[in-house]
Amino acid sequence: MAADRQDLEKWRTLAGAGGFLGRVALRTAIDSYLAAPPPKGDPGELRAMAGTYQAIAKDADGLRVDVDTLATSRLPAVWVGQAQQQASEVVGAVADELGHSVTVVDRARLELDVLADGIEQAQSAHTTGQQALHQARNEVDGDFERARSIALAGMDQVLAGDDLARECQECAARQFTDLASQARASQLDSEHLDAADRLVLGQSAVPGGPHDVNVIMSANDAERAATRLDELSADDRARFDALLDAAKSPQEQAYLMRALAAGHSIEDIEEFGEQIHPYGDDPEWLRDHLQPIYNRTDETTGDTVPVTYGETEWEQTGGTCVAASSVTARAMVDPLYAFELTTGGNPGDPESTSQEAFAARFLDETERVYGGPATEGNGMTKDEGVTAANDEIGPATGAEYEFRDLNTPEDREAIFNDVAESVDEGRPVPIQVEGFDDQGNRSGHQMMIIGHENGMLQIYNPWGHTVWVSEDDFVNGNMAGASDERLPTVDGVHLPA
Amino acid sequence: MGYQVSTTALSGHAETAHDQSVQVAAYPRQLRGLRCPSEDLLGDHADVAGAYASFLNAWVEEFELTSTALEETSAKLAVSAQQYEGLDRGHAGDFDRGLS
Repeated sequence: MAADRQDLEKWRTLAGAGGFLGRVALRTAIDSYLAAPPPKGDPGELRAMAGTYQAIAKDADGLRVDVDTLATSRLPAVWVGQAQQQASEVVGAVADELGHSVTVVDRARLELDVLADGIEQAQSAHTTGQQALHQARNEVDGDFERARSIALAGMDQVLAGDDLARECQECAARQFTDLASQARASQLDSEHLDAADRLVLGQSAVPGGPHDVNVIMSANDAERAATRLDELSADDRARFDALLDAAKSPQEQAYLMRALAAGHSIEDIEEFGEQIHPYGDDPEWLRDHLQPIYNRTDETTGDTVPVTYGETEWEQTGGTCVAASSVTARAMVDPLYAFELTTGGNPGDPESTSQEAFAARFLDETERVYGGPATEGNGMTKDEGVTAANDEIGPATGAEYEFRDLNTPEDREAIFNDVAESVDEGRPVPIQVEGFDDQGNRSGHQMMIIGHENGMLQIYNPWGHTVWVSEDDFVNGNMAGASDERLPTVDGVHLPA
Repeated sequence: MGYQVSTTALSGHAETAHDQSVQVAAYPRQLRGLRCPSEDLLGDHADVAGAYASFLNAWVEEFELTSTALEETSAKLAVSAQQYEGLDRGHAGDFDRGLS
């Protein structure tokens, strides 16, 4: 249908133009529509598949409870000691993994059902349209206007069926892409990690919010860390293994893996490991000093949530939105960088870890990226923004950023899936918004897309907060909720390739 | 820090973890048994069949990994139980030799 869609729309326009279309042409138009194939898809089979997913989710949910009981009560009841604690940690990670699997499989079940409904409606609209077109075809030599009217209604039904099919399949494709990226443990595909290691690392999460939305390693982290593990020399591998073995918690291990994923040398990771190790059994300390943002809830509301170190916000000064958002994004993907910003490399020194010292370092880094005092100048150009993304975020994620101009809702709709896929995999996406006042003067601002859930995007605004916006907001110029009413429209993104 | 262990119960838990591994292993088999992704099944817009295929492959692998992790755990629990018992028998043997 997609290839013929333009032809069908042309025929619809002609047929709707009244007296411009004769009997022969109307017959040709009707025949074009009658030749159009119905929307593809098998709703019955999709529903049967959804039933299988539902059965798996139900069984896995029961199993999750059993595995969790094994970890938390049955093993400790018969075995006490350090080995038991580590065994329970592994079994607990399996329980977490099963819980995550239940969520994913249940969402897949829902998507298959929704897709089946959408395809069924699309096919029904197509069939209804075709019936009308057959009737019009039979009457075209009689009352021409009546035949044309019936044909127009039929054509609209056929086109509506195609629209419905496209909408539901685009939505399903987006959801399945999102769900695929949540299979994190299998992405830690290294010959040096056994299955239990991969689950423990893949399920390590920071405290303070729902487990699923606070997992430390992204899909991109997992893939890059696994690749680097396999590339290490035997000596470096032994040094890294020693760090992992000595770690006091799965969270400490996960941050070491993230440091590896970010591309740091073994020497730097060893130094980092020694400095965080005293806090290795304090997941809240690790969270507060090694990443700027975590999720206290899994609700994707339009409420703003402050991003703070202590009570000091990760906030721009002057017109440094590009630089400040790049600095925070780098801290999100590189725990060594976050550690330097929050502690100055002296985690035991109250002065160095103070909020004032953090604010000073954040400003220093912002000005380094900005290229001058934050209180001077008028911000950075888009080209400078791409450079900042490539210099600050690119090295830790392996991504090369390119500017994408997004002047129309169609441009923004077309890029949405790519943006969502990038952040699902753990690569932040710089986003530019703009607006014009009554005199036509332009205001512009850069923020960072850092999360994606159920068609919503999580935005970090360097004014010091995060907020969720919908795809509709992103596409149709309703971004004021992420900043303010002066900046409603997405102007462009730097997309990681 | 010392340790306490009931080796019989620990062996039982090793069996439990093995059974759980078998239970999880059924999930990827069920998923692989579903009709293969295609445009005729899922539609021909937005490469929805490709997106579903990627999802399916990723989660088949993820469940296989979960099953393997449980099997590894089962094996380690069983070995731990055997080693604790072996240790106990070894020490008992030391005393036997001392008495003979």
